[in-house]
Amino acid sequence: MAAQAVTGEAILENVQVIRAETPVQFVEALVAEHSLTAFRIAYSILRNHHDAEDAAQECFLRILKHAKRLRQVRNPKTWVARVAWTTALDRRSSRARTAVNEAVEEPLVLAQIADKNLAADEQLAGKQLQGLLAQMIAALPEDLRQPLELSTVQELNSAEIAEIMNIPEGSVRTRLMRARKLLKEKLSAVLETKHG
Amino acid sequence: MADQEKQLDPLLDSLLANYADAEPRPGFETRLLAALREPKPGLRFGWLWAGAATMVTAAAVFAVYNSRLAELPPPPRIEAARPPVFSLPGTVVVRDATRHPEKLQIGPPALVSVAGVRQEVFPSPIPLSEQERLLLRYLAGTPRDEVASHAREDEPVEKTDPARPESQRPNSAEVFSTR
Repeated sequence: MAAQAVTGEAILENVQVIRAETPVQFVEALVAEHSLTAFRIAYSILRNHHDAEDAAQECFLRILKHAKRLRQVRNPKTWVARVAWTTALDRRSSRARTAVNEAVEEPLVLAQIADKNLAADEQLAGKQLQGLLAQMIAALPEDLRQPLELSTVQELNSAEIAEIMNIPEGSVRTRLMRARKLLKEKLSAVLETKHG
Repeated sequence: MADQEKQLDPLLDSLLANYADAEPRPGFETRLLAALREPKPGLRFGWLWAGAATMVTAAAVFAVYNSRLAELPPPPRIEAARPPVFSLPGTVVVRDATRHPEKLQIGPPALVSVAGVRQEVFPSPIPLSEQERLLLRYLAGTPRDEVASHAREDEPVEKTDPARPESQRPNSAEVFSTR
C-alpha cells in the first residue's frame, strides 16, 4: 500500500515535470517540493546548518547540471534525496569534522530544547544526550550508520531509503535493527555509569 | 534486561527524531532559487576553455600541415614550350679565334631564337581618341531626330537645273547606271 502511494506521488510529480518547459523550471519545482528533505538529509550527515544548506544548494545545482536526463527520472523525490545524500557524503569525506562545528551548533540545540519548555536540568540532560547520541552514531560502522542517518529524516521510509542506497529494503530494516540495538547497548551503559 | 531495553526504546526514538529535525534558516528556498537562476561562472569558464582548446587544436593542425608541406617533394617543373627557332643562314661562328687565329672555321649557322613575349594578361582596351570622345558626347547630348536630320544633310543632294529642258534631264535609270 505504501509502495502504491509512493508510486502515485511519483506519477503526480512526473506530471509536473512534463508540464515544466525548461530544466530550470523543473528544478525550481523540485526545490519547492523537496528542498527541506534535501536539507535534512544533508544535516543528518553533516550536523551543521551552514554545511547542510551549502550541500542542499550544491545538490540542486548538480541536478540542474544533468538537466538532459531530468525527464527520465521515475521518482523525483528519491532521486533528489539520493543526490542530496551523495553530495553530503562527498562533503563529509572532503572535510574532517572539527570541534568548532559542534561548538557552533550548541546554541541551536539549546534553542530547540528551550522551545519545548523543559526544566533547566532536563534541558541540560537532553542536550547532553543529543551530543552523546551524535557521538554514538558517528562511531557506528559505515553500513549501519548510513541507513540510520537517513531514517532520522522523517520524510523518508525504509523503501525510499532502500532506493536511495540501492540496496534491498530487507537489508535496510536489518541494518536499522542492528544499529538501534548497538545504540541501546551503548546508551544503557552510559546511563548505568551515570546513575550507578 | 528486556525491560531496560523497552524503557530505552522511547528515549532512543525521541533522540533519533530530534537528530535530523532541523529547520533551515529563513529564506533558504529563496537563496536556492537565486543560486539556480544566476549564471554559473563555471559555465563561462567552460566556454573559455573550449575556445582555447579549439584554438590550440587549430594551431597544431596548421603546424602539422605546414611541416608536411615542407616534406613533400617540389612539384615537377613544367617546361614551357620552346618558341620556334629560326636559323639565319650565313652566320659565322668563330671558335676559339684567339688561340688559333689561323684556323678560322665557318661552323654551322648559329641559332637565334625569337622568343615570343607571351602576354599573360589580356590587353586592356585602347582608350578612345579625342574625336571619338567628342562624337560620343555629341550623340549623348543630342536628340535622335536631330542626329538623323544632320545625317541626311550630309547626303549628296542632286541639284536640278531648272533651265534644262525636261527631255534632257537624265532619268533615274541613267543616273544609277554604272555604265
